[in-house]
Amino acid sequence: MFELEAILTQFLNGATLVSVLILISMGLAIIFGVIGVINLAHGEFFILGSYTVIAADALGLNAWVGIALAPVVVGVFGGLVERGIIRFLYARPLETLLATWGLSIVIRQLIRIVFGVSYRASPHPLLGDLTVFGFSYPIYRVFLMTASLAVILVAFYIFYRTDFGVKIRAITQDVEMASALAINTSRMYLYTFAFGSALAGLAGALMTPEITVSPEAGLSFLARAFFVVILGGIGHLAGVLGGALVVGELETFLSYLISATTAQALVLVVAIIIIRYRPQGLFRG
Amino acid sequence: MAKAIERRQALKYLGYGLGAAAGTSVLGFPSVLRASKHPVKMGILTSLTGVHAIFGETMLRCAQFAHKEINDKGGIAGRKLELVIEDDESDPKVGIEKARKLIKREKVEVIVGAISSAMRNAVGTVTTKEKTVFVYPTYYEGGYCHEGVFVTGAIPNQQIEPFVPWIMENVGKTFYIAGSDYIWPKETAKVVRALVEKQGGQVVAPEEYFPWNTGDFSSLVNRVARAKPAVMYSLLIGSDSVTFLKQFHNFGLKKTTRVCTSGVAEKEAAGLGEAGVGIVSSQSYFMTLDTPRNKEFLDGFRRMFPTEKVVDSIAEGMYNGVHVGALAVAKAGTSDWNALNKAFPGVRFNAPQGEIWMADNRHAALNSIIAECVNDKGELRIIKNFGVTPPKVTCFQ
Repeated sequence: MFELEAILTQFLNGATLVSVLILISMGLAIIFGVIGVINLAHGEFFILGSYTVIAADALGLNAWVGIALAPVVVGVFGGLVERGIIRFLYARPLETLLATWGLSIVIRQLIRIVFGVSYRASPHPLLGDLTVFGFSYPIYRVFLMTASLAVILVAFYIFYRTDFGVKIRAITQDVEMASALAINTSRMYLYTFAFGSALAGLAGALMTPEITVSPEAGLSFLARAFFVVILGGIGHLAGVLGGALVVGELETFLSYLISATTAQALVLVVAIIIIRYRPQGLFRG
Repeated sequence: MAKAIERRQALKYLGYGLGAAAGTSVLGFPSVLRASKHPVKMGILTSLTGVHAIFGETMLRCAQFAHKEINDKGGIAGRKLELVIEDDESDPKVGIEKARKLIKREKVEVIVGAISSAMRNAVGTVTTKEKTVFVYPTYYEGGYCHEGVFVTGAIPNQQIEPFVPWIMENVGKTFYIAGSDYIWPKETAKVVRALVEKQGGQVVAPEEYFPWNTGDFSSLVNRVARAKPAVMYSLLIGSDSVTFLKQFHNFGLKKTTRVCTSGVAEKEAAGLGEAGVGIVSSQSYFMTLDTPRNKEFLDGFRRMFPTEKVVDSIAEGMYNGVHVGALAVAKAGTSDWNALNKAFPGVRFNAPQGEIWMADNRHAALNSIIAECVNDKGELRIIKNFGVTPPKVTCFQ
């Protein structure tokens, strides 16, 4: 149980889980951090990405086409949601909570009507192992880690190296001042919401081979993303990294040694302790 | 004067008496006269929303199909069958509420439904207290012996006892067992372990249990990869089962370890795609059963519900439950709880899985079939049919 290969595998398992958590949580963190909106339909945006891959497969398209389409489809959908619902509720956090929860119920039922209530499957885009010095690990998981890294780099680049990013950061700091400086805050909110949704959709599409695809599946991903974002701290991208690192590594490490139920409970206890002493999360925004 | 009043009063009371006698004779005329005007109300309680909706929806359709068949043939001893449908929302607390509503407000004579053991136990507390018959159609861990509760789902001596020796003969003698963290996997694991050890096999590690919505099974897969058993016996259910088996497949473990399970059937296989290929499952019914009766059932079902693609053993159990319930009510001739309880044992029904019957222990003699998933479309091909097996029950819950 403690041989080198087992430990190496477990380390990579942890790294994959951290990467997956980053992918799942990034969209929620950006929307929450910039706009101040808690999108309770985030899990549904995630699973819509998976369903885009399913739909692409049903139309005879390649899995990678589905993965490429998912952020576009879900991003556009997110934009429509922002214009149609979120836009009217900016200064009203409780109403947005209610509205996005209602939206999540509607999306779940729409998925059920269009795709049916049954579990769906699509072909694996990249099955096989990567072998290094006789040690092998699934290549798709390595790909997920790479994709997560790419998403982090793109997000950091946009937020810290572009004009768009400067405006976003301005809005995050003080939206009224930003508006007074002729930044079209409404348009920026639209783009941010669409971008966060697109990220959620991309995460769902990438995770399709590793999860169960059903109309109700989105809820557990909302819970996980929430957990990571609250723990990591809102308002700073590094928060997502911190939260994902703590949750991912701890859970993987513990679940190798003790029962899964106890491990998940312990992770919760650690999170509670961290929040108790740092209510703003690991990284202050 | 007083005598006149007394006479009037006497006539009045005589009138009352005659009226009462006449009334009693009309009302007292047993169920026959009154009942032919009243339909038999059967409560259908299943998960139409929530995580078990994937099973519940088809269960409902099978109940509706059985309802149509029964009424087309003249109903239950001349009385029409009426279904009252309630959604337990995959939540035992709601199941209790809805069971109460069905019994107290709708006054159903029989309740058929429930998927998980948690739901069955919850609903069972209500039906036993309110003295209403409850028919449970889903395979489970056995041992539930409560008056008024009848089971048309398979139990371990039917689903596991023939299965494990077959696995040891055809797949291997080393097992790894993992399941979801509740009663059905835990009790079933005990049965599997006992059978494995009795036949000289070995369970290579302690059983592992996972809470609902565990998203990442890579640690379990890692441990299984180190242990290298011949058989991975999975007792995970629902979406956890699909997630685990997909990840198991993605790690390439199916090359060295065969997945055998009593918790995977057509519905789960549909969500597995290529990850399902090679999985061996044990149920009392598979849709691919090649008999004229099953073909007749599927044709009729698909004509009524063209969009329903897949019928699994839980849905077939529901179909059987409605029919068996109807037959018991017809046999009893009354809705009296005690009479119904006596009427169930001995009821026989020509089910899609074959001829089944209710035994004295409130469980059903059911089929025992092993099937293998042969392609990425979730198609299960039958590889061994043990035939109809009477139920052996040791009461413990």
